[in-house]
Amino acid sequence: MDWVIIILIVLAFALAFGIGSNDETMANVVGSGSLKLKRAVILGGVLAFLGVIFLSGNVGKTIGVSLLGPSVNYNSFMMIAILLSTSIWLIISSKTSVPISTTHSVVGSIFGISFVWAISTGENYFLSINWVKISEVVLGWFISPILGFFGAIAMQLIIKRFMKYRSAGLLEVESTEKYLQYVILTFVCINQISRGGNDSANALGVLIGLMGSDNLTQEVVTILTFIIGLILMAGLIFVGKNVIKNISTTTGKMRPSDSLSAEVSTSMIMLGATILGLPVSGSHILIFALIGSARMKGEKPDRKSFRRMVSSWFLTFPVAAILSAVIYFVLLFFL
Amino acid sequence: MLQKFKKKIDEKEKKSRKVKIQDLFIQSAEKLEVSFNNMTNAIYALCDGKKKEIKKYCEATVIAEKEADRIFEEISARLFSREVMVFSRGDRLYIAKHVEQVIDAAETVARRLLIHKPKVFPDLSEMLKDVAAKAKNIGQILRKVIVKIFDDFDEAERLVNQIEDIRRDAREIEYQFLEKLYEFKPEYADFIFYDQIIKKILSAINKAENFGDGIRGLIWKYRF
Repeated sequence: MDWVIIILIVLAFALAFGIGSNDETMANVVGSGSLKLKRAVILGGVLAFLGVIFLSGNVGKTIGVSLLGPSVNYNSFMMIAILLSTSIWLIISSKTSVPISTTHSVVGSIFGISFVWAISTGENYFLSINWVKISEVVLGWFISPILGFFGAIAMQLIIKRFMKYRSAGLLEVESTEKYLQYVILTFVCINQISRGGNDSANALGVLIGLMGSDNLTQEVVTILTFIIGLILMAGLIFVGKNVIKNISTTTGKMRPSDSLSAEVSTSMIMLGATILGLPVSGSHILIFALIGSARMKGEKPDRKSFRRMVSSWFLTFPVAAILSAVIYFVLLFFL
Repeated sequence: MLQKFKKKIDEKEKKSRKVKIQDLFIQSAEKLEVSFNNMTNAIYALCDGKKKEIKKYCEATVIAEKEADRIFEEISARLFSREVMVFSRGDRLYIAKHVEQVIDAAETVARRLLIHKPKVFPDLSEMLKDVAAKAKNIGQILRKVIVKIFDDFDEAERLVNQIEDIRRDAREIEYQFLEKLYEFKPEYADFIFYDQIIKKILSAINKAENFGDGIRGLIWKYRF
């Protein structure tokens, strides 16, 4: 196996570990006391692994095959550029504590390398990208948080109606909330499997893109999928537990009836997007769903944090594109 | 024999450990009512000049406060276990803490009553008895409020409104009492005693009312 492929696989593994490390899906169940941290991260890890094995295929194909134009074939250097630029942007954003999407970063990077590819080969840039597919993906980024927002509002209305007849006293409220905890657990599990499938495709997509070339056969990719699943699970269990612990202290103060609407909305959208093969950001959907849920109670999000989050969201795509373009341009000298 | 005795103690301990946290709240609410009843009875005894009874009721108030402290400690220790849901722990702690604070206020009145035996003035005594009766009534209602917040928000809110009305009446009596006190101009020590005792009783009543306000806030928070 070529040394470039080995570097590529190592980078994909590192990205998978990073994705698992930043997965906060189980925070809600830990915060509300439904599951202890240890059990939650193990359950989360296993579910994310199942998601990688069974649900990453469609999204992986979108990232690895469908986004580029028919005349472009992925090569190892392109993939290295994508993975490096995504990793660099992830590290920068982690330092500034701004939640960014790996998915946006990967797709932005694909945009960047296709641009350099068109310049270096003298091809028409507009033919280097599958504009229909990329439009679907970008549209998904806008629609999914909006759906999350309105889905949470609709769910909140239903829950409010349900709770109205089950809140005679504190004991009844608590017993109903206890019941809702289990409902949340179900949706968190669905969300975790979907996120495992959707997010891992960012690491897996680059390998799927190289399938059939450079010694990467279908069998090798299947084995790598399994390994990426295990690495993502390890990331979630060994590092992600800290993220879950930190976030759970905030979400724990929320009543299950408050967070249920956001969880249902997020999990359904994540599952739908994953089955449709659309790479979306679970964190963005969840944040908008939480805002929708809070709006129903007359609460407003902190404007400063919200503005910072949305601007980082818009910045990710161009920054990742520029970074990958520069990295690929430099790597072209080795070709 | 010793083993049998030890077994019995173990069983008793096991049983006491099985007391639901809910029952501990009810027990602390009962202690609150008991302490207010005893405080009131001690004031009645003072007004009637029954010195022995003052001591008896004041000591009973202090004992009730000590028992309430023990219950509060147990509630605090168990509140952060899986027995109670995370989101309501803070509010349950608020209830337990304020029950204890209201009982503390009643205990302060009782301890003051033990310090000095003033000369009894019939007019002042009548008013003091009126305020004490209001305090007793508030203690009874507050116990019901604590019980009702767990199973009937509407009833709890109605009772909280009652506490507010009684506190308003008690405050009126306090000012009438102070007016009379300045009119009578008793001896310095008696003056200070009466001035302090009415303020301490009102402080206990105000604490109960503030607690009631807090409970009203909890009702609004939890009622959909």
